[in-house]
Amino acid sequence: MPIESIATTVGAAWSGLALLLTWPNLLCLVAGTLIAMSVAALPGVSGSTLMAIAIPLTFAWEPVPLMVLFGALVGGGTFMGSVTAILLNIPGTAPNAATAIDGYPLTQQGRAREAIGCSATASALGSSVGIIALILMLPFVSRALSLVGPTELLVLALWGLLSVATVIRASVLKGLIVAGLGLMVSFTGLDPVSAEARYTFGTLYLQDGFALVPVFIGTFAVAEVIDLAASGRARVADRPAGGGLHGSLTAGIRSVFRHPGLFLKSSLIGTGVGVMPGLGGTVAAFVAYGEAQRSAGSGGRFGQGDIRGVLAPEAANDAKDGGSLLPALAFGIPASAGTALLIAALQIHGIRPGVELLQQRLDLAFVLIWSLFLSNWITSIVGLALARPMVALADLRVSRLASIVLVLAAVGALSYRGSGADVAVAFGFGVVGYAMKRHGWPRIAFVIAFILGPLVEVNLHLALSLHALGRINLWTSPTVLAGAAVVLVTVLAPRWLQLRGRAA
Amino acid sequence: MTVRPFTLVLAAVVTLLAWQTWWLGPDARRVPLVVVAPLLALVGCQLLREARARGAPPATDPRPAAVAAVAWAAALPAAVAAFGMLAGPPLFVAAFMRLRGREAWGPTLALAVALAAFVWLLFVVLLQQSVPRGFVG
Repeated sequence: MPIESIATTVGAAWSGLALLLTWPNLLCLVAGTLIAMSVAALPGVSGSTLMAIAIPLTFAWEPVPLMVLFGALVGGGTFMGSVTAILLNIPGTAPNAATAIDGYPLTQQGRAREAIGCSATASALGSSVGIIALILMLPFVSRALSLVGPTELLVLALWGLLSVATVIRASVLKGLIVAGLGLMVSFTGLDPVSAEARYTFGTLYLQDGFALVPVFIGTFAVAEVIDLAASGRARVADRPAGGGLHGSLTAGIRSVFRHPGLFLKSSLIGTGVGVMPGLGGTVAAFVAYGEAQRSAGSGGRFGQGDIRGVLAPEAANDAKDGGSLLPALAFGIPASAGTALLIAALQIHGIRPGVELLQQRLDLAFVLIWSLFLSNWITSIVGLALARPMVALADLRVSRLASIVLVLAAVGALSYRGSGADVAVAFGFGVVGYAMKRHGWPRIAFVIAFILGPLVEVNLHLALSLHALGRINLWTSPTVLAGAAVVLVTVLAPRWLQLRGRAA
Repeated sequence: MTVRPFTLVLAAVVTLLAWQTWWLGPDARRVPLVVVAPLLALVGCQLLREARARGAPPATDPRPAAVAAVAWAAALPAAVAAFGMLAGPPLFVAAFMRLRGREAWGPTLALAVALAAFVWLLFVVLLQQSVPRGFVG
């Protein structure tokens, strides 16, 4: 790699840090992290809900504070979910389910503080490993961007789409159907080539297509609240946080340094899984847990309160954030719901991932990376101090939480374009999102396909035009052939990883 | 017969989209056709899979609690349409918390007023955007 490329990256990293550490960006970082932590402590309410609501509320913001806030929302949500998993046996987010397997038995044994200390340290250090890996890969990817044309972008978008659709745990068939539906919904509106109206049913509103914000608010925020209300619970958590916090915090922190090999292996698993679209933190956490269990052999007490069962999934879950930013920043391919919402926020602010971001505004990309890095550390440090009051949030009444989230969802949808129809669309997609969740149809494949739809359509048109003009041959193009091979490997590899995780 | 109603709805939507795609111009339908044709086949496979599935039929669907939750969620945009964005949300919050949550009047009114103040601050003061009025007032 040329020296100037390293110098550019280091310079951009420094500028990004300087931008982040100015007022009011620092406030955005701390406030975003604390809000994300609070939401992550609420079982059943995901960080995606928060991000979907934050998109319209930040329309008027400059790009730098926007990047800071979204970095904080992505990073701030990961650790706190493990606190409810350890103390209540209720994972705050899905990936924390792996932490609960050994975390809750540790609490029952009076070692809750040890488990939380281990989780906080593994989370902070794991996220750092993921971010370092991302920074090391960025210069290579940035240089490769100049070689990327419509055919390559098309192959990358198809790769993202197919891998998301096929790694769904419930059913590959359902994943593919939902991804196809997401694409079809994204085609609503005027055709980019002929300007012919498609699927508008004669309405003026649909000529612009479905807007990202109401669709995302509905699919995540409204759907989650309907699900929570339909659960029939009076309170967010169905059991109180009993007992005090016992055990040694320092023993938990030390446990990470007692198992450096396991920590590094879990972090690298998390980073690798994070790069692959659709796999997400749950697969990362369970694969790392399975690997920890396998490598411990018969010497472990996994499932009965082994501290390594907390260390491995937490390190992997936090490391995946760094990995998932790579395809998002470089190609606009979302690897998770969080990065899909991040890309939506960037697009609405006119920031395009890819060449524009990584070659012309690399400092802006680093603002996001630093924000993610610092928010992970803030979460772990503050989380250690505020674990008990944060867990008390899970005792919130469902009617209060649902009222607040529903009104914020309506406000968010309305503030996007000032159109009341957007509120109706958000709630319509909320009902669809709830039905999908309840019947095991993956919403993540739907929203990622919805984001990738325009990218697929425009680049397919361009590639076919270039093919017709004789500028490229799609059947013999090395990019297409290599891309097809990568798609195959990516589609098959996650199945193998899932099977390993399941076997564990 | 174990086909879920949701799958039937999806199949109907996909069929409608395929029908609409067929009548589009050649440029406008090129990419959608590439997507919707295999999509139809995949939905057909899913229907077949559910129809041939053995075992107990799916649980009563939809559940009353789910219907109630969806109805409550739909009540908010309805309240906004009827009473506008300033009055609709607090009225919805008051009704939801009192009737669904069986909350006391104190926290109900406090939250309703706080959320109304938030909406007013955001739209009128910060965004200086006109707030939609309802057809009632």
